[in-house]
Amino acid sequence: MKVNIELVDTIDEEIAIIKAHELTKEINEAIELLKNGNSSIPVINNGNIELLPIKKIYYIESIDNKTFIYDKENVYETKQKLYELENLGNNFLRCSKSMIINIKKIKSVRATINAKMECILLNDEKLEIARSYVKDLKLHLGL
Amino acid sequence: MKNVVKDVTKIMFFQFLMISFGVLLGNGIALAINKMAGEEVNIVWYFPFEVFLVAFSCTLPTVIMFISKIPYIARIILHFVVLTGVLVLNCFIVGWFDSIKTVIEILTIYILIYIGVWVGTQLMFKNDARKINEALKNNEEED
Repeated sequence: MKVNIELVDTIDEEIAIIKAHELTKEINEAIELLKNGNSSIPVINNGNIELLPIKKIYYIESIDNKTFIYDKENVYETKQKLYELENLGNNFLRCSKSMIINIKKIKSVRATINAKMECILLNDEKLEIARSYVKDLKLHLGL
Repeated sequence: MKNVVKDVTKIMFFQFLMISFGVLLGNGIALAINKMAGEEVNIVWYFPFEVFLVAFSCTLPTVIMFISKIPYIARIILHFVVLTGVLVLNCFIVGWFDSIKTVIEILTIYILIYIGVWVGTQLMFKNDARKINEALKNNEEED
């Protein structure tokens, strides 16, 4: 693919135009990076508001009407509701009634005897994907 | 809730088709074996309708599998017990249990179908996990 770059003045809006025969996986990933690569969301950490880069999020969980965001090692609370965070990006998928997972942080999955799919994250944490959401995961992965 | 009703109805419909086919096929094989053994075989015109009635009744315990408050293994055991009860009751009603030999044949076919469906479902889940793991390769994004 030929790439043309045109540097503009800071007063001009930055815009990326992609001309393609079809939207391949690589092009979709490039779009995702351009749209959300550097995006962050506000989270509460020890009473302080911080900005957490979206790409560091492993999963988001709703417990007792509170929403918690997990990265590799830490957990943060956010004022936003779970349904408001479903559109963080194409990599974020609902995996149960109370959880959204970043599929880029999944290392592997395993079928369990109780008709659920256990997924092992990059930090070796294990989560369960309800059977009814496995279809969405497969669709998202192009299966 | 609407989606669950739709899913349950869809599953019950396909189960009805599979049970009807399984029973008609199993019965056909049993009759063929009896005929080859030199026994007299008789089949009445309303036998397929009896099969459809029994098949429909046997799909009703499926709703047990959707009661998420009950642990999965307990649901399987409860489903098997209730389904066996429904099957035995229906077989008495339509008059299929006319001898000990028939009782053993029917219950054997039923148990084989039950185990076969359960094993088949588990293999399907494992196959799903294998496909997802293949698709997840080169998908990870470390921090």
